[in-house]
Amino acid sequence: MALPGQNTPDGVPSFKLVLVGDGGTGKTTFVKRHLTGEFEKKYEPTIGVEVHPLDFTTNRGKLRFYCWDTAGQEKFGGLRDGYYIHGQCAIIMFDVTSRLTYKNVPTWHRDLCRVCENIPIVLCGNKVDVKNRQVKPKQVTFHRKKNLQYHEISAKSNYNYEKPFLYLARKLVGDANLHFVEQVALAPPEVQIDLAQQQAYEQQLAEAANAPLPDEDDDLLDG
Amino acid sequence: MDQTDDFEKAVLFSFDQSGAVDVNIKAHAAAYCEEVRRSADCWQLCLQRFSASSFVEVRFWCLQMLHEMMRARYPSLEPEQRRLVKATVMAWMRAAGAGPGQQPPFLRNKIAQVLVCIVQVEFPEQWPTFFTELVALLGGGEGPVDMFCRVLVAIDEDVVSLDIPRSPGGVRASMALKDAMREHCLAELGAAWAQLVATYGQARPDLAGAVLGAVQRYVPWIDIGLVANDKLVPLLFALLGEGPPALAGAAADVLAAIVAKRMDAGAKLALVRQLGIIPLLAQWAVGLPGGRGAREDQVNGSGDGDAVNKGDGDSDGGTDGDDADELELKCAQLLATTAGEVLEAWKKVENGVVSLQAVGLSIDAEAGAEASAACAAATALIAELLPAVLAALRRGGDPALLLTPFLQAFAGKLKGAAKRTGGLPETHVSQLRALMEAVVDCARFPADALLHEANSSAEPADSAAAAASSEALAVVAERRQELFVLFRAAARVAPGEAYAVTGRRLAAALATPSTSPQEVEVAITLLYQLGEGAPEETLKPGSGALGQMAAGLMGADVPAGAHPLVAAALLETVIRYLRVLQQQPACLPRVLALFLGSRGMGHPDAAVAMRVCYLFARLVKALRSELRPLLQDVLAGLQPHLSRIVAEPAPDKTAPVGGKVPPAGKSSQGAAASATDDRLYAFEAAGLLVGGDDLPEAQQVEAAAALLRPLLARMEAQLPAAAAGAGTPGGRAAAAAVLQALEAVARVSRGFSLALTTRRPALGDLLAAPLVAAIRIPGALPGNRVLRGRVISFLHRMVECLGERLLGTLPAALAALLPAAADAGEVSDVAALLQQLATRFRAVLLPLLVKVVPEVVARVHALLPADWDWSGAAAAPPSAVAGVPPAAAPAASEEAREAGDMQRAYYALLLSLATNQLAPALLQAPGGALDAALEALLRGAASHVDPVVRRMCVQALRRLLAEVAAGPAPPPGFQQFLLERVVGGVCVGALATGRLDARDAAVAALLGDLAGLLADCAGRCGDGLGPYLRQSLLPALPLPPALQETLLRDIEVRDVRALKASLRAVVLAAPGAPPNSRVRSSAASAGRQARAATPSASADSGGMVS
Repeated sequence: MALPGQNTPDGVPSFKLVLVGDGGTGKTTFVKRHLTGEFEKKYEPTIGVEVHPLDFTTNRGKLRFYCWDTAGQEKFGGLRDGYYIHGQCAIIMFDVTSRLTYKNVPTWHRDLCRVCENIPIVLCGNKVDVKNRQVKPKQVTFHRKKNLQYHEISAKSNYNYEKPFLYLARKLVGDANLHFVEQVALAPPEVQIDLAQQQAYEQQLAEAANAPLPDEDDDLLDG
Repeated sequence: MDQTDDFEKAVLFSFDQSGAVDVNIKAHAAAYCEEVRRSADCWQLCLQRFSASSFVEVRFWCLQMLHEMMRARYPSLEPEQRRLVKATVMAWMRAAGAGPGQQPPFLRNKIAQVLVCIVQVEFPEQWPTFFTELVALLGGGEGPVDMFCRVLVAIDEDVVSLDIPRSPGGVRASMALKDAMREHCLAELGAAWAQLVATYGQARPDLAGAVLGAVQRYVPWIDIGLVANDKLVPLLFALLGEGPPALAGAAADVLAAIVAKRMDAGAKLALVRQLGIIPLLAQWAVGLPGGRGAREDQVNGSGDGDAVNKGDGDSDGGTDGDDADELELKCAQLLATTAGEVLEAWKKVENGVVSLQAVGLSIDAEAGAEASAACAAATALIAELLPAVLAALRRGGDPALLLTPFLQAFAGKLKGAAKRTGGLPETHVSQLRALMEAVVDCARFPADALLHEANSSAEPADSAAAAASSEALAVVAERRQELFVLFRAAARVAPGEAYAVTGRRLAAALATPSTSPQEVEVAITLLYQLGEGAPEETLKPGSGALGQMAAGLMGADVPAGAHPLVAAALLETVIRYLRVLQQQPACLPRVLALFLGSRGMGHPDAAVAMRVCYLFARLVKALRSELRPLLQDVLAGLQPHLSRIVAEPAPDKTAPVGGKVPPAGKSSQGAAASATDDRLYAFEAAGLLVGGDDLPEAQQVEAAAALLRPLLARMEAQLPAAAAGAGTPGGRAAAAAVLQALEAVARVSRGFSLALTTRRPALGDLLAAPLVAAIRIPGALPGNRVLRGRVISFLHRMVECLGERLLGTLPAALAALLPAAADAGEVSDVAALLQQLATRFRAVLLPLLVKVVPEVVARVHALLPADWDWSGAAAAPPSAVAGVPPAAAPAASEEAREAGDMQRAYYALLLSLATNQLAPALLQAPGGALDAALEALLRGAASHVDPVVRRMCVQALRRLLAEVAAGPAPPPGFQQFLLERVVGGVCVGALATGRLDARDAAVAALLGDLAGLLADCAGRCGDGLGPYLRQSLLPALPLPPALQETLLRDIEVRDVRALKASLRAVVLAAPGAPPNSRVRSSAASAGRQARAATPSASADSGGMVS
C-alpha cells in the first residue's frame, strides 16, 4: 500500500505494518535499528504516530513495510486505533523486564483485531538482553491462545531483529519458504547478548510450548 | 475533496501520514478536531455526521468519539437524548451488516462497541428486552446476523472476558453482566445459535463460522446444556465431517470448549460419553480432517507480492491450503483436549479414592463401585482414542506437538499406576509400546531437502537457501527434543519395551548398507536417549541390554556413516556410553579411528567437526589411562587437525548437528561474534594426553613443546600485524589469530597441573614463554576489549598451572592491564583480578599489593565523578531500587552502570584484603589511600541500595577497624570517628532510612554483621558510647521509646543476637519500609510499637551519615 507522499519504487510490493504495545517497550528503538536512526539511550515517547519505510530484500525481490510506529502512551494517543485502519500486518511489543507490559498485550490485541480482521500478527518480547528479566519464556502463553507468532528480541543488540519481518513477509506473500537474501543494514549492536542465557531461554520456551495453558475462567462447575 | 466541508477536511488531514499535508495545516486540523471533541454537542454531531459522511475515516472518527462520550457521559444524558442515541445506533446496527447501508468490518465492530457500551449501562434494568430485540433482528437476514455476532464478541471483549486486564469495578461489571444474562437471555441466545448454524452452515459458511466463534467465547460460563444439546451438537459433528475447512475448524473449537468446560470428574466423563465424541475422534486413526498426510510444508505457488492483501474487505483471507492446515491443527487440539480431559477425570476419581484410603477412611461399597466403574470407563475411552492420538503424532509437525502433553501425562499416569500396583497390565504395556513406536516415527528427520549434504552447497548464492534449510532443521531438532522427553518418560515405565523397540530399530538400521540416513540416525539417537542416567546393570558387558547395544554399535559398520546427522549422532552416543568403552577397551582403536578420521574431526561439515572436537576432549578426559598405550598414535592422528584449526578461521558456530546443539539465535546478527570456537577443545584433549603423570619427562617435555611452540610463534608473529593493522580487516584477522593461539595455549595448559609443573619445571618454562607474550597484548592492542579479557582469564589459568612462579610476571602484567587511560571497566577487571590473587596467595602477595593497591584506590576515586552517588542508585537497573516504580526511574546510563560495577569490584577487593591478612597493603599505604578507602566503605555501608554490597562494606570495615584498633596507638579522634561515623552513621542511622526490606534474606545477613560491628565498637568506645547514644544519636532518630531502651540495653551488654533483633526492629520502624514487611512481622512486639510510632516520624537520617 503505497502512501501518496512516499514513493514506493515501481514493482515493489508494500504493506502497512502497525506496531503497537505499551509505552517504553522499545517500539521506536526497534524501528530505528533499521537503516535510519540510531539507538537512542534517552527515552522520548512517540507522539501520535511515525511512519517509517523499511525495505527488505527477499529471494523473490524487494518488499517494503510501511511501519506505523504508534504511541504506546495514552496521553499521546492522537487517533489511537484510527491509525490501524487498513493495516495489513502487525507487531505487538512488550518488554520482558516489565510484567505490566505483558499483561496489557491482550488489550492491544483486541483493539488491533477489531480494526484489522485476520491479519498476521507477531508478538515480540523485547529487551531480552537485560539480565533482570521479569517475564520468563514459560509465562508467555498469549500467542498460543490466539495463534500468533512469538519472537524474543533485543532491539539494542539486534538479536532476532529480522525474525518478525520474515514471518510477516512469508504470510503476506504466501510463501512459507521465502527468505531474506541480503543482510539488513542495521545500526551496530549496542550490547552483546548472552548467548548461553538466551539458549536457556529458548529451551524454556520450547518446553513452555508444551505446557498446558493456564486456566482463565473463574466460574466453576456450570455443568 | 471539493464536496468536503471543513469538519471532514480536518479529520482527513489529521489522519494523513503520507507527508502530503503541510505540517501547519495538520496541526490546525488536529486542533480543530480537538475543539469539536471538547464541545458539549460533540455526540450529536457524531450521530449526524456518521450517516452523512462518505469517508470511512470520518465515520470511524465519529464512532470513536461517540464511544468515548458514551463511556464517560451516557448515564448523565437526558432520557430523551439517550433514546435518540439508542435509536440511532440500533438503526446503524440493522443496516451495517449488508445492503446499501453496509459498512466495512472495522466500522461494524466500532458500532457494536458503542452499542455494548450502552447495553452495559441499561441491561437489564432499563433495557430488559435488548437481547430479545437483538434476536428478533435475526430474521432480517445476513446483515443483522453478522452484527449479532459482532455484538456478542464485543460483550465478551469489552465486559466479560477476564483475559483483558480489568479494574476491580470492571471485574464486578463482568460478573454482573454474566449473572444478568444467565437470568434473562441465555436460553434465547442458545436457541438462536443452533438455528443460525443450521440456516447458514451451507449458504454462508463464513457467517456460521462467526456464530461459532462467538459461541466458543460463551461456553466457559454458561449452562453447558445450552450448547451440549441435541440441536447444536449434531450440527457441529456434521460440520466437522463435511463443512468447509474454516467452518469445520470453528466447530472443532466449540467442541473443544465444551469438552474442556470445568466440572466434576464424574460429570465430565458423563458429558464426554453423552456427546458421543469418542467414536468420532477414534475414526481419525486414519488421519486428521483437513490433513494431507505427512508432508513438508508446501510452497504456495503465488509469486505475486500483492496476492495477499487482506485487512479490509470481506475476504476471509488465506488460501485453501492454509485453511486445511488450520483445520488439521484445530482437530488435533480437539483430540488433545478430549484425551486430556478424560485422563484428568480418571486421575481425579482415582486420586479421590487413594487419598481417602491414605487417611484411613473407608469407602462405602456403592461409592467404591462407582469409582471403579468411572476408572474403567475412562480407561476404555482412552484406549479407544489412543490410535487416533498416535496417528496424529506420526503426522508430525504442529499437530504432533499439540498431542505430546497428553501423552506425557498419560505416561506419567501409568508410571504412578505401575508404582502403586507393582506392575502394569498387558494392555497398558502394549499401549506404551505403540506410543514409543509412534514417537520414533515422528522423530525421524523428514526425507526432504533438509538433508542436503551441507558441504555440497558451498556456492555463495546458495548460502541463503542453506540458511533457510538449516533454520527448518533447527525447528525439527527442537520438536525432537520434546519427543525424546516423551520417549524417555515411557521408557521409565516400561524399560524392557524401550530396549526392545530400540534394539529392533538399531538392528534393522545396521542390517543393510542401504538404510537411509534418517533411519540410522533415529535408531542411534534412541540408544543415546536411553543412555542418560541408565542403571549400571544395563551397561554391563555381556548381560546389560544397553551395554550390548552400545558395544555392537561401536563395532559396527554404520550405514550412511558419513552423513553429518549420522556421524554426529554416532559419536555423541559413543561419549554417552563411555562406561562401556572403559569396560571393553577392545573397541577403543576403532572408536579412535572414527574420532580422528573423516567422519569425526575431519568431517567436511564444519559444525560436525567442531562438535567432535568437544566430544573428543570428553573422551580423553574420561579414558586417560586406557589411552596411554595408544598415546603416540593418537597424538600423531591429532596433529593434522590441530594444524588445520590454527590455519583456518573460526567457522560460524550456528548450524545444529543432529539436534544436539540447541538452536538459538542462529541467523541473528551480532550474536555469532561472541560464540567461542569449540574446535579448540582439540587442544584441551592434546593437553590432557600430554600432561599425564606417568609419561617419562623427556618425552613429555618434547610433546608439550611440539604443542606449545607453534602457538607461541603464531602469537608473536601475528601481534605486530594486529597492532599495525588495527581497524583494518587484515588487522582484525591477525588479532583473531592472536586470540585463537592464546586460547589454544590456555586449553593445552588444562592438562598441566601445578603439581606437575612443580615436579617438572621444564614444563612450567614452556608455559612461562606464552605468558610473557600474552602480557604484551594489552599494550599492543589497547582498544581490544575481547583480547584484554582473554589475557586476564589467561592469568587466572596460569595461577592454576604455575602457582607462585607467576608472581614474578605480575608487576609487568598489572602495568599492562592498567594503562594511564584505563576506564572504569578496565579498573574493575584489575580489581577483580587482584581480589582473586589475594585470596589465592595471601601473605605472599603483600609486597606486590603494597605497591599496587594505593594505585588502584587512587584510580577508582579519580574515575568516579566528584558528585558520585555512593548508594549505587544511579547505576542500578530501575527495578532494583526499592520503592521506585520502574517506569518513573530513568534507566541508568552505560557510564553510570560501569562506574557502579567498578564500585562493587572495589569493595570486593577491599574486603578480600581485609579477610586475607593483607590489610597492611592499605594501612601502610602513603597518601591517604586508607582514608579514601574507609570513606568509600562508610558510604557504601550506610547507603548502598543493594544489601549484599552493604554487607560487603560492613564486613570490610569491621576487619579494617579491628586492625587499626590493634595498632600501636589508635589515631587521634578514633573514638569520635567510631561513634559518629560507624555507630551513628552505619550501624543505626542508616537503618532508619527505610530503604531496606526486612523480609530480604540478604538484609537479615547484613543485620547480623552490623550487630557484630556495633558490639565491636561498644567494646572500643567504652564509657563514651552511652552518653553519645542517649544524648546525640537516639533523640535524632524516629524510634519509639521502648525500642530505644532495648537498643541501649543490647549495646551495653554487647549481645550480638539480641542486637540483631533490635536492629531489625529499627528497619521495620523506618518510615519508608515496605508496608508488607511491617504487617507481616507485626508479631514482634518491637515491631508493633514501631508501627504505632511511625506516622510522625520523618527525620532525615541522611544527615547522620556525613
